[in-house]
Amino acid sequence: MRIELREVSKSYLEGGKKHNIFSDLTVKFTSGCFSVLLGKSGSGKSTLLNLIGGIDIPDSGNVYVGNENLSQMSDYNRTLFRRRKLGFIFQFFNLIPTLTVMENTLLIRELDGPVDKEQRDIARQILVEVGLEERMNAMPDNLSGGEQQRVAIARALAYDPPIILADEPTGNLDHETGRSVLEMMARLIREKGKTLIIATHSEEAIAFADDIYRIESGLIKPVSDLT
Amino acid sequence: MVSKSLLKIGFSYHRKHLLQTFLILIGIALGVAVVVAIDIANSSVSRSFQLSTESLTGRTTHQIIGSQARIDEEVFRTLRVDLGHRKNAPIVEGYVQIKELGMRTMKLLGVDPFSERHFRNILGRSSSKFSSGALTGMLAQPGKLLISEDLALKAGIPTGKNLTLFFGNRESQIEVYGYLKSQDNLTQQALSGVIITDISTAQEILKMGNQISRIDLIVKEGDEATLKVIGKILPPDITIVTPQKRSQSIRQMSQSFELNLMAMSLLALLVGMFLIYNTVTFAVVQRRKMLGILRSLGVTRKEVFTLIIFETIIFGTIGSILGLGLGVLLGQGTVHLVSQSISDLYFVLSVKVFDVSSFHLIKAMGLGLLASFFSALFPALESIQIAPVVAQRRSSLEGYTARMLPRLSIGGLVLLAIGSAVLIIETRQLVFAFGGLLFIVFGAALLVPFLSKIIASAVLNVFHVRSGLGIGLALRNVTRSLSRSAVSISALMIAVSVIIGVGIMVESFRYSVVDWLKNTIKADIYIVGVNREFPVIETSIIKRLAEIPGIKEQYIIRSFKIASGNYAGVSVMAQDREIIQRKWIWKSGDKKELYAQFSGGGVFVSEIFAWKNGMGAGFGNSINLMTKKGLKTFPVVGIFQDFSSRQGMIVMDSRVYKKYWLDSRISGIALTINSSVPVESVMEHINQKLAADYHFMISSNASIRKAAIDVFDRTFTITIALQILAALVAFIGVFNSIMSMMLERTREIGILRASGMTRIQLWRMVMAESGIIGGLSGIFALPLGTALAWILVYIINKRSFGWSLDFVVEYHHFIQALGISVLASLTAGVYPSYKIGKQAIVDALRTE
Repeated sequence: MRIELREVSKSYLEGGKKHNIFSDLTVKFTSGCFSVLLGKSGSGKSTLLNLIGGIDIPDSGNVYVGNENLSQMSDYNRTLFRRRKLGFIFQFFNLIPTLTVMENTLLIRELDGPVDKEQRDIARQILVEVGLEERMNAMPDNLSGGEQQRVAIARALAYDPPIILADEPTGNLDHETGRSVLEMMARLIREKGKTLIIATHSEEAIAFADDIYRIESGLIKPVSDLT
Repeated sequence: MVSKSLLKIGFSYHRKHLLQTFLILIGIALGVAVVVAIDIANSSVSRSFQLSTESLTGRTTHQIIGSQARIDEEVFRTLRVDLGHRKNAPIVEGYVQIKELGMRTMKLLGVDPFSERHFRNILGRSSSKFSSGALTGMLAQPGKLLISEDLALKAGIPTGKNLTLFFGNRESQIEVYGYLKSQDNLTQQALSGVIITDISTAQEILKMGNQISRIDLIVKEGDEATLKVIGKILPPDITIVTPQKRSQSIRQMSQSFELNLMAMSLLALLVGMFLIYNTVTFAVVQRRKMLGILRSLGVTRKEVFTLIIFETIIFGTIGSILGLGLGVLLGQGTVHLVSQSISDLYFVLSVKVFDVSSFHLIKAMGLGLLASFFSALFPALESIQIAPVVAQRRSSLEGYTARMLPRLSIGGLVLLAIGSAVLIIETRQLVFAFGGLLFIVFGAALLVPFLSKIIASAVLNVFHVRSGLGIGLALRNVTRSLSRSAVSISALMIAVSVIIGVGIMVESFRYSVVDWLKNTIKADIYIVGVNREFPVIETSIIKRLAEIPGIKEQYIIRSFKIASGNYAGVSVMAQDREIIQRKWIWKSGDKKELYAQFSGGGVFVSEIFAWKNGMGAGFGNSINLMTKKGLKTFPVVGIFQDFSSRQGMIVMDSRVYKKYWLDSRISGIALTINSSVPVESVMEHINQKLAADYHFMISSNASIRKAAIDVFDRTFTITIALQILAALVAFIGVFNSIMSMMLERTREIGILRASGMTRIQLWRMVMAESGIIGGLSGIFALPLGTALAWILVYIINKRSFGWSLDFVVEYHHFIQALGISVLASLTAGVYPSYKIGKQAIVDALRTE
């Protein structure tokens, strides 16, 4: 699925002053690949993911995902698009604290109406794949950080979206756990043929990446040689 | 004390959350306002009473009064001439309405100007100067009156103008001779409710013949010998009392009514406390991380605790001050309503004042601060549990709440048991009844989390609504956020149960009164004397009535109020036994036996009389009444339900009354008419033929019932106003809760929105959650409200007033309460869902 940003500009007001994140940014991500966005804190990695995900809209320019131009869509259509075509994984896991592991996994499915047995079985299968078959009825706060992030991965995959966006998915995990989460994501993405874009400032993710980009001073550049 | 920097950190939160801060203030302000308004109403009534009755007492030390509030002039002559006692003043008093003052009720005081100078500090002015001489001048000008200068100037009444006085249906034109003034401020205020004439003019207006109302005396302190000598010349049914004792017995009449109003206002404050508790809890919850950081930096538990308490006390102070202002404004309305009810039910308040004292304001302020302190106590204790750095996790908190559920529920059951035990205690101390009621309310509130969980889980499982976001997710949110949702449900439950409880109580009361009127008012037409205290009609009217076509039977009624002694204020009614229809609480035998005992000298007493005098149902009770033949004992042979006299009523056979009181006068006549003749035409006929010669009021069966129900409805207007206020506080409470719950879950909602939840779905979820809170509150309020009604009907009303009411539960109260509950919470959910839906997802996800 095509992911392309054309001449996108985005700025925020900070303390009454306009702070430009991107000016006329153009970039295209390869479909079915594991892409990594590198950059320092505040460089605009999360903003870029939010624009691709339709969580945020550009001041100008166009964001294409598949055949859709997110910039031209209504809030309602953008929401439905997010629900069906995108999966999100956040740094702080962002699970709903009052729902069980299984309920969190089924949450996005539920947004489209009652969940049937087949969909429940799919969710259960994904939880097995992420190694949480024993914790399906646990509450999020009773899980370790790694386990919580695995629930978030399961949730992102449960509706079978073609694109997964992950914002610092290992930022809140120790080195060991972070690595195992990345391994799992890479495995599942490849097995299921998804497009994955990870925003991170950890270079650990590079080992799993197909494409690497670095964001610096409002510009995005493919990285071919890290040395 | 809290350091300046800590306070700065604390208040910066409130500056950023102005709506929540405003809601804390409103919660306190409304609670305090209701307390102030009722307090002002009660104290204004008290002050009005004092002005209406006590201030004109002057230097009077004792009063001679008759058991029927009438004394023959002969007694005064004997006192003055035969006994040579000089410091006494005859008084004639009654109430009239003045057309030129918009039919305002004024006390008409007939005085002897020569005697007055010893007693009251009243100056008159008939020309340009005020002096005591103007009063004496009135003697040379009989048939004229004096009126307060303040009132006359306000109403534009010049001297020489005729005023139209109405006493019942009798109209008199009396010329204003001059103005009244007093150097004493209290008397000056009292004079605004009084007009003064000479004795004979007052007797003529009030149709008192040669009788006076009382004789005021000045007797030196400790001069028992003089009192003894005076006592000896008095007939058996005439006694000497002190003015204080007399007014005390009248004042006591309305005190239970006022106490009940005060209790209702405290209930409003209680609902306000839930509101404050809720808001302060959320303020703590939202700052959990910040408080954790402060703890890690070395801020002690005590300092965190003090910060939360201090903040709330500051808001408590501001809210209470706002409440005082609002209360004074509301007080204007409540004074009018309460004065009207007191005048309808107990005694005429000829002077109406608006009494706001610093004591009431300080008291209400203190209550507001106390309520704020106790409301903040639990959230403050929760705040000190926060561990340094590591913010307590939300689900851990819910886990803690879940673990606490059995303890909370057991606590609730224990409180319910204590409340029930306290209510069972047979005492007339209302503090026990209200205390028991409070335990029941708190007990029920503690059961709310457990019951909410059970019901919501049952709905989830039984109806398989686990799937689907609307109700399913909302139900899960409610059951798994019990630490928050249960407080909202409890607060709304209490407010709605007050609405149900008071509604059922008023309905039961109304039904009982209607039923009682149906049972008691049996004749078609009633003719009574116009003097409310002492109704009399000349007996020749009986013969004249017999000439009017359509009248089938006439039954004579003689009634009066006992003016002194143990039974002061009690109504005595002498009736022909044929028209006695009562709903019996107890009777001594079947109808035949009962009436035989009645004709033989037995009396029936009202339930209130029996209750006040500690008489249980059964044989062996008797009462001693002072008659013209001295003290006589009458056996009680029946106890009946009655709502007409708050002081109680004694009913005796007309023949028995005549025998002991040597009194053939009549107060009223009950008429039955032939069914073929319309009531209105007979009434018109009576008016045409007799109104010019007799002084009476005529009413049909239907109009008496209507008038009684009108008085009833007026009495409960204040209760309805309190219900509305309770509902308002509850609405603000539930709005605040839902708003805070949504704010607390901003990030969670950001995740849902990022994951594809549309605004409509979000709106539906919030509204479903609000509806569930309202629905559960309404469901829990049904049994609690019914229990409150039961306590109000069978315990509080019984102990306050001695009434047995039928407990009438109309299902519309339940439907109405459920409707109010759900509607209030749904309405309360509209703004939070709109606000949260408008928030940018990116910002929501950034929220800590």
